[in-house]
Amino acid sequence: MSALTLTVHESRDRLGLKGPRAAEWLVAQRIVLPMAPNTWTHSVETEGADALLVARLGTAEFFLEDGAAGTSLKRLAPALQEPPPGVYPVLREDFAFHLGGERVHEVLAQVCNVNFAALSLDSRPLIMTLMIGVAVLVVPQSAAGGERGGSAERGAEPGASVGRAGPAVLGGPAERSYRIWCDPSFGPYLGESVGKVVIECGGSYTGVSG
Amino acid sequence: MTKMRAKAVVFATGAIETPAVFRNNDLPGVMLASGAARLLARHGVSPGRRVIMVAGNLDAYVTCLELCSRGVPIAAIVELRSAPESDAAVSACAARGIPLLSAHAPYEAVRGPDGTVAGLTIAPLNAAGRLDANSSRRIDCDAILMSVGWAAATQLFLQAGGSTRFSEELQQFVPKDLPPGIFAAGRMNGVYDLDSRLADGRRAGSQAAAHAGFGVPSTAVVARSTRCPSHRFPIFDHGDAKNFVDFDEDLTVKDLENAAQQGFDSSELLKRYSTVGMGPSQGKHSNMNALRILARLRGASVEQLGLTTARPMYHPVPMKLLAGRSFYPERRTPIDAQHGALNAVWMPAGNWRRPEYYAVSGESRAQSIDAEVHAVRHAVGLIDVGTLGKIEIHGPDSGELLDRVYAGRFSDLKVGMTRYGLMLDESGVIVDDGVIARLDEEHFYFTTTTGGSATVYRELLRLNALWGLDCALVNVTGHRAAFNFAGPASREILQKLTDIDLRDEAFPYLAVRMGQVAGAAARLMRVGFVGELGYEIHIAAGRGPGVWQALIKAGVPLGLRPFGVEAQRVLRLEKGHFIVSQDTDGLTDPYEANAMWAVAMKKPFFIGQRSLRILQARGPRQKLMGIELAAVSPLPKEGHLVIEQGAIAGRVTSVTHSRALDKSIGLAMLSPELAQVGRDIHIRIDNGVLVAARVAAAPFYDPKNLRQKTAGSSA
Repeated sequence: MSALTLTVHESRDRLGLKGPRAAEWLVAQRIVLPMAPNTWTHSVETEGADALLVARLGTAEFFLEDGAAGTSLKRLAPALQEPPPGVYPVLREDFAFHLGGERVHEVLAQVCNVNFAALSLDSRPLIMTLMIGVAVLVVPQSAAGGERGGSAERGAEPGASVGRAGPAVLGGPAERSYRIWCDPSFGPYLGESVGKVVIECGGSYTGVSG
Repeated sequence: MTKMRAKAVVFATGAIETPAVFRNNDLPGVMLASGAARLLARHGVSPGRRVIMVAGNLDAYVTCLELCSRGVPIAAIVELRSAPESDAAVSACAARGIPLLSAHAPYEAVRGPDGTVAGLTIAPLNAAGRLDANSSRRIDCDAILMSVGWAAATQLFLQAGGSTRFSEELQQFVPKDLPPGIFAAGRMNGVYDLDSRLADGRRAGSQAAAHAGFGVPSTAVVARSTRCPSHRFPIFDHGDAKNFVDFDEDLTVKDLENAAQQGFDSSELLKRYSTVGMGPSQGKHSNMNALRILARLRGASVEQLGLTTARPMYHPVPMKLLAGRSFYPERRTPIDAQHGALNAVWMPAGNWRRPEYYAVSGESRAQSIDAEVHAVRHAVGLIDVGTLGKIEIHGPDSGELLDRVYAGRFSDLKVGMTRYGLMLDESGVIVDDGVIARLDEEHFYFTTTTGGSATVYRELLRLNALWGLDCALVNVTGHRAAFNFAGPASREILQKLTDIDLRDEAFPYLAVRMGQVAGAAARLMRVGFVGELGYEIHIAAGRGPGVWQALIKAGVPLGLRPFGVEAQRVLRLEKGHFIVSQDTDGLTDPYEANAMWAVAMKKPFFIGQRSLRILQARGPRQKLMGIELAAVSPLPKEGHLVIEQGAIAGRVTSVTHSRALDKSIGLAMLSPELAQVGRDIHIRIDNGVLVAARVAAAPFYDPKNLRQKTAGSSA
């Protein structure tokens, strides 16, 4: 079991969009979408740490984040400069954290009402909730990163049928880590406050790292 | 939810223990005696290793005996009364050697190095019940228990249509009129002795059963207690801060005194103005003490003031509020670190922290604020307005949605222009304002007040879903940085950093343009809140610090100073601009705020339109007017009352001294009779003195707004 840590994510490219034709537009850009509301997936065109995370917030809003060395969004962003009707860009300047390691659920239990330990990762759930009073987006992953497989996804081709891209992410609650995003104005407060709990639980908090 | 309809209901809701009020009564280790007794009896948890009991009733002595029986040492009983009543429990405490300090009261709880109670400073009470602080002394302890009184739990009873009266003998409210089918028993009925409570319960139960058609009603008469369970005035104001009355709302004795002084001196007004009793505990612990304070301030009785009725749902205090971690979300703009580097003196603004002003070595606070104002009027100033709500709206029906939720018309706003927007609620009351910019035919970007962003966004989402319009909202409040760059030199400096043509003919007053500023994609709005040529610059949060630094670097050689909230308040007041929720209140409509110019009554519909028609027929009850003070000092404060022929005729909502105008100016909400330019008025200040003022036309500064509109084309 790894040590408990809360780390501010290094700066990564992020992109948001919503609107009645947002899904259609993303598919046209060869982006794999999670089918169900409030789930996430990885784009099939990238692998491992560079994978593009695609999260579906509700039905018609999407949040995309490139991996550490990913370049997918650099390709996509110019196309959104003049979006087609029904596609609305959403500025995403989120503060982002990675929380993982031993006693991670003990920390989460003290700062959030959601029982993360009881979540099944099979459907790749995306949690939108409040954490110590701040609206957050949480993606639970296996401690290894949860890079493989997932739930039903829309294929890369426009109009492609639903299929399964691989095996579900497995792993018991003890092996999980969490990626957390929040409004940047709440970032310092959320980091410092959750960081205190992490430190009390024997872990460490690393601030801005990039 | 299960709804039951009973023919008869017995209210045996008991009484809730209430705390004493003294300095630092919020420290960990200060607790109600009944809570400590419960911890001990049910959970075997001792409240401390050395306990002081603050006593105002017999329950204190009973609790002390329980603590002693479990081996908890009692350092002293601090008896608020001249002597305790004669009772076996009192004698037993004496027999156990517990020190009794009669006619003493807490002066302040002493905070230890770990933030918890380390002692209690007490002082003797004189005959008038006032503390003799000169004779105070400290007693070490790690827990202070308070057993000074009870508040009858009449909330549900009142909601059921019952009425109460205040019993001076019992120092609590007791039922007065009981509607048919409603019965009361026990402590809530003023019956405290156990045997009497049992008898009272049997009586009430029998009468309720008979009312429902079962049996014969009991004719027993159960007398109320003859022993007073509550102290008359367990409030010992230290004079300094932290004498908490309401722990939910952090209200102190001083807060309530201020509210009463400003004219909110009935129980209903005090509640609404100060929010006493409006927190999660619904006033269970605070209402009685607040009433006692108000009664003493007014020289009235608690009975004369009366009790407010708790709103449904009446519920117990949630445990989460009493235990566990406390978190206070705080927002910071992207420029937070830059403010710190510039010696910002912080102030809270909603849940944000903002620079009140920037401290400069060798300058007083007033001098720094003056210099910031002066820079904006004569050179250039830069303020972080990233706390403003910032919302985007996309889609074919965007203009329609804005037309419905704002009082003005926006569907006809030209692309590239902005317009001020006033938001009303259904009753026509002003609830928010901001600037709406049209970026293209189907894309608007608008600001809200700092405190209103989340509420406005939520409400617009709800309405959009309700109306089924074809548009989508995005709240980018935290994701965008925003500055106001204002002053006669603003254009000259900004032009060096941007590719946007800033000349009047290319970028007129109230226009919006998009381009680059210091290498960052930016939206610029030419606005005039502070009354000078100025640009509101909106950029992605991550680019904020770089653009801020570039503006500072370019502006300092030409006299730039960053300015804070306080300077902005002066500047906007010179222009006569009101601030929603400061100069308006929960009843102010656009007629009263002289803001009908921002209302398009001819539109088919907007929220509040129907009410405005009614309000127009009724006429204003008050008018927001400019005022000028006859003398520089003393300067009234916001909230001070306008007095006309001995009666309240208005209140000051904003006031400041304007160096640019060399006089003190303000805004005041006045009765219609006084709301005439040139009319002399009188304002009652803190010490009761009346100061003279005159109703004046606003704006005070540059009344034709020439400086913000036609500042030449120097770029």
